[in-house]
Amino acid sequence: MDHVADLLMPKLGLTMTEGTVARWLAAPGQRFAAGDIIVVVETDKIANDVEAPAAGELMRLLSAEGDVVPVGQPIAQWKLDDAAPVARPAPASTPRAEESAVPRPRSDMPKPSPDPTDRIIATPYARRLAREASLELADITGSGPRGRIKCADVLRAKEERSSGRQIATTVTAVQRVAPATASTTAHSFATVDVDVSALRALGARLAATRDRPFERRAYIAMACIKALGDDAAAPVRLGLSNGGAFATMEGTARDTLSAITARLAQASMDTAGGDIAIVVVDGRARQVVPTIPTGWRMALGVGGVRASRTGDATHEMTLALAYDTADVDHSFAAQLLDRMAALLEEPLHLLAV
Amino acid sequence: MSEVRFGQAINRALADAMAADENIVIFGEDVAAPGGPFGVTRGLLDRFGAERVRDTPISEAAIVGAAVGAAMSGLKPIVEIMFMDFVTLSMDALVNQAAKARFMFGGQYALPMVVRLPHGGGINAGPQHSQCLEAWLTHVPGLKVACPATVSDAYALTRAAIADPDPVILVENKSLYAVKGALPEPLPSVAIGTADIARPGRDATIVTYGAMRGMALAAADMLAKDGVETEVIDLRSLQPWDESAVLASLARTHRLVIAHEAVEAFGVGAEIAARMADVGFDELDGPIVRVGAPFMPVPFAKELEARYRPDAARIVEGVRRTLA
Repeated sequence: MDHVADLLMPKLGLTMTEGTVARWLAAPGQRFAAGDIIVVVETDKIANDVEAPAAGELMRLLSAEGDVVPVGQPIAQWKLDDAAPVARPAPASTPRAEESAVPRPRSDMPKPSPDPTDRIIATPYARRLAREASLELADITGSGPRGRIKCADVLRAKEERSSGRQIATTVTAVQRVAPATASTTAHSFATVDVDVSALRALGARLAATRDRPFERRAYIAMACIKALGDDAAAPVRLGLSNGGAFATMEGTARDTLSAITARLAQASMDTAGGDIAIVVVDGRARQVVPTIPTGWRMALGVGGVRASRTGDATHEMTLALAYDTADVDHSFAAQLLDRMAALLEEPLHLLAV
Repeated sequence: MSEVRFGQAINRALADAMAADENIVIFGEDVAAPGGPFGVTRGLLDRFGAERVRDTPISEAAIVGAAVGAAMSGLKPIVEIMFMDFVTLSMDALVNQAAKARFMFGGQYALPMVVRLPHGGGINAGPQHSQCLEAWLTHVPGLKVACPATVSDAYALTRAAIADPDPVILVENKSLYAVKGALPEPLPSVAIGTADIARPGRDATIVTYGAMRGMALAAADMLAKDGVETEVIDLRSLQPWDESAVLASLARTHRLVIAHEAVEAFGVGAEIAARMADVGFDELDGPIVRVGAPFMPVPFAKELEARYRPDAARIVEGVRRTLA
């Protein structure tokens, strides 16, 4: 049984969004065999032959030579003979003439031989930054040798995204500064498991070199500050549970861990509220979901550290972020937790100023 | 604060240590009456006497072997091998005896000995008198290796090496002996294993040691003219080396160049590059680049040697490569 299908503009590389129809090698009404080149498609990088996956007939052209067509849009209609899919005996790069009679698996969107440029070349630091900013490397253009994506490229992409999505960042900014109006209580919470193996190793190393080791509270406070404080200049206000009340302190992403530790020690018991109220429990309790105290925007519950049996992690702890859906949306809470987890899992970032 | 030469700072450290501890003895080829091939032990014979400052025959194996025995039996010997190239002859005493004693005798023997090894080229001394062989020694568990670059560190690291309970190799670049610099008062002290940030920067880190510190700073000056701010880390100690200082710098700059005068292949830079590719992987925003000598013996001809030794321009090239 034959059927008419669209021949679509193929995606020839991860970064390709559109292609130019360079040359038609088949005319409407013309029969072709499997493996015949139907059309040549060009991108900035390459010219690619698009082969027929099976024998058939070209019905109608939907684009002319020179047309620029987005990936996935039809450029022609063709009718493919309904042959049983048979694996090709040789890779697509071998000469076609000898095997023109061999039927090939049908596909509406022919896939040319894999483009070796598909592998994204990016530096480890750029990959990390992209991951932290939830950016896809495939969407970023690299400026380094061989198109390598570097830190500067990710930062530029981040910049472009924030200018392109003014509304999103504005919402985030508003959420940061909006007054805590806990009139309607529509509380929700999100949780994340954090691999604290690296944090424990760092703590052990630092303990050997310092008179007073850093407490877990200090690392958590630092992670909150760095996760929430995108703008280093604006202080983040934290409260740490101390027998029912909250000792409050402020910090910016530019503060050192030592400074945060010192401020924790001197934290005052005022009742003004702030960004995140933190409750830390020890022992075997895995998760604690605190209620949001009056005057506070969010509350973070930190469970005990437990031995882990998954993957490379030796120890884990669970963070639960409670928020009021009236002024903090779910995706913001999830992103915030994600950033905190990333910071705690690679604690070098907690030390970097 | 006084201006002294690098060699004089070592001389001062030797003299201060000898005055403070009568168990310290010095021996080696031409170290007594002639005052050392580079003048580093000048005046010590007159001040401390022939019992404590001795000339030896030309036998590096005997010099270091005697130092091991002396250290085992209660003295604190400081010996000099005229050129690091000839440490080859004393490797058994160093590698199989000195480095192992603490571990093989249940910790009963500490070997407080110092071996001073002048290394490096640039003085037109040919392939057997110019080598930088420190990587051999850093590979041996039980040996510590320091390599000062400044007058202040020359004094401080010599004192630290003498004070250390274990065998310490002091690698001294011959081209530095005549360099003048400030010797601060009170006299400086430095712990073995701590690096020095010779120049802060944000765009790339150059890790170096010894005479290449000067080249790295010159390279940083050249790069600064183009707006590239390079951080220069002087390791000062090669074994143990200050991994956390290098990692912290990499976390600031995200790009790493390691420069040394020694042959690049299998050198000290290879170890630093390997560790940073491991513990610093997520910090890297460019390839780790090494700048070292080519895989060739040091040439004798002045023009050839000048091309052979890494210099500021080669370091600049390396930094540009990781910034690309």
